Amino acid sequence: MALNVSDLSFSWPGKPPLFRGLSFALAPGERLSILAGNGMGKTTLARGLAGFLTTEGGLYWQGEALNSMSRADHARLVQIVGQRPHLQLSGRGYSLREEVAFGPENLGLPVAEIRARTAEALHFLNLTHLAERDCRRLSGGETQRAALAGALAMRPRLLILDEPMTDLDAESRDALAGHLRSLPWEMAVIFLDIGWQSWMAGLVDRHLLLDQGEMHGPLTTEALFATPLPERIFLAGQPA
Amino acid sequence: MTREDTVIAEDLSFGYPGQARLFERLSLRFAPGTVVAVLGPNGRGKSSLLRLFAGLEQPLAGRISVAGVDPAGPEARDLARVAGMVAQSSDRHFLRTKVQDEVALTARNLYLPDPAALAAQALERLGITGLAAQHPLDLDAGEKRLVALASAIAHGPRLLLLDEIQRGLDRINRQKVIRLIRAEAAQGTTILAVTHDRDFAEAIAGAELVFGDDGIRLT
Ligand SMILES: Nc1ncnc2c1ncn2[C@@H]1O[C@H](COP(=O)(O)OP(=O)(O)OP(=O)(O)O)[C@@H](O)[C@H]1O
Ligand SMILES: [Mg+2]
Repeated sequence: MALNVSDLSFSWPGKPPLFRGLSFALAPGERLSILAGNGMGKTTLARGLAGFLTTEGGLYWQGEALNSMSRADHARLVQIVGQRPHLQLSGRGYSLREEVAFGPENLGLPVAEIRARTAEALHFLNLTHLAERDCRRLSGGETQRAALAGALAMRPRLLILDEPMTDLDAESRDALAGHLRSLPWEMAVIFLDIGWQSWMAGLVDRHLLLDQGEMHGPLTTEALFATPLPERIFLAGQPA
Repeated sequence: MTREDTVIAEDLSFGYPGQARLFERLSLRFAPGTVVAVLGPNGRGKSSLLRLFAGLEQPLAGRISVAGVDPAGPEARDLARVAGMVAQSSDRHFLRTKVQDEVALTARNLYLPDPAALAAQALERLGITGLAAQHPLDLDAGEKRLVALASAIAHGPRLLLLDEIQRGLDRINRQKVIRLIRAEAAQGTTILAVTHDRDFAEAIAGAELVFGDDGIRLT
């Protein structure tokens, strides 16, 4: 297994636990969704799984604890894209291309490699035609795509996506889903979402449910549609 | 038509400096109580159109009337009275430390009678009365969105502009929003809702404004 999560618990000071005793494992290159309603701790869990919170319990990548890694190794291993992509852009570059290159530059990669990764990530997100645009002048969906491109340019081995496709148009969603299925490097992905989304078809077939601090599953997509779900959890394409 | 249309756009052109025009000579009319889903790919100008109706951008050519008010006119207060908006990044826009004050803000700025009662009513309509005393930034993403929506409707606007309002809302919160949109429309509010979510568009809208490859069309 690549990622091992064992008995992970977290609570904000003075509040009841958001999640407790959470355990699961992820194979290299595997894609998994974690579905939860609003206020169930989805975003906190995303940060916890990325190793950005002080959680109780174990979080290991190929046997190595995430919290004992150097910052550089941590950044090479895991990337996270959150619900508020405009907060995620560094603002350091004038153009979208420079923004996407920011991560690989910080890895100290050779220039040719930085250029290749940047071009590749822009292509994955259908952004090549906007590469010279000022990042502060992008539309909502373009900004979300920019944040995703920035993460993919790092070629992480684990990508954590917190409601990644909300503002993407159908074409960009399908394109990204397609690229995620056939990446030139091995990357496991955890998708956190409020429910099953139609772009998940063929992309992720193992789902965990987080409700009232407890984890249920994993379920296959088939089982997800056949099981009574917590009332907040949503299945796209089903009557509202 | 005996009643005046709430939204009138005539020969509207718009684009950002140094970029191709997003639309040219666009004309639209929406009657009171119409719910329009605004659909189309990223970067086509959906949010820009809402921003024009909200007076946040100026048209390059053409005219807009929102319940008789020109959004590009000199008095922001006139437009604030008739329009309400929840922007695509609404959780950036909170100004007060308590939900009840946040929701009452527009009514207060417009000197409407009893802003606190209007705020309480808006919270009640969304079933979030229990959040009244909380700090808006302490809320979860779904609650924040409902508060932003309550803030946009409390003063009783004639036009409601919603940009990806359903985004990230779980089943229960989504239902609340759908019910509220239907109730607002039944009271005569005109609603433009930009969305990438087909199911949501179908649940709320009687008409679709599609920003397509071959131009903008209303169906
Ligand atoms: N302030 C700005 N200055 C310059 N260009 C801008 C500005 N805001 C948006 N744009 C550009 O104008 C175009 C239309 O943007 P707009 O935000 O209206 O698109 P949209 O249809 O709402 O897209 P999305 O579905 O991604 O939200 C895009 O190409 C965008 O990059
Ligand atoms: Mg937009």
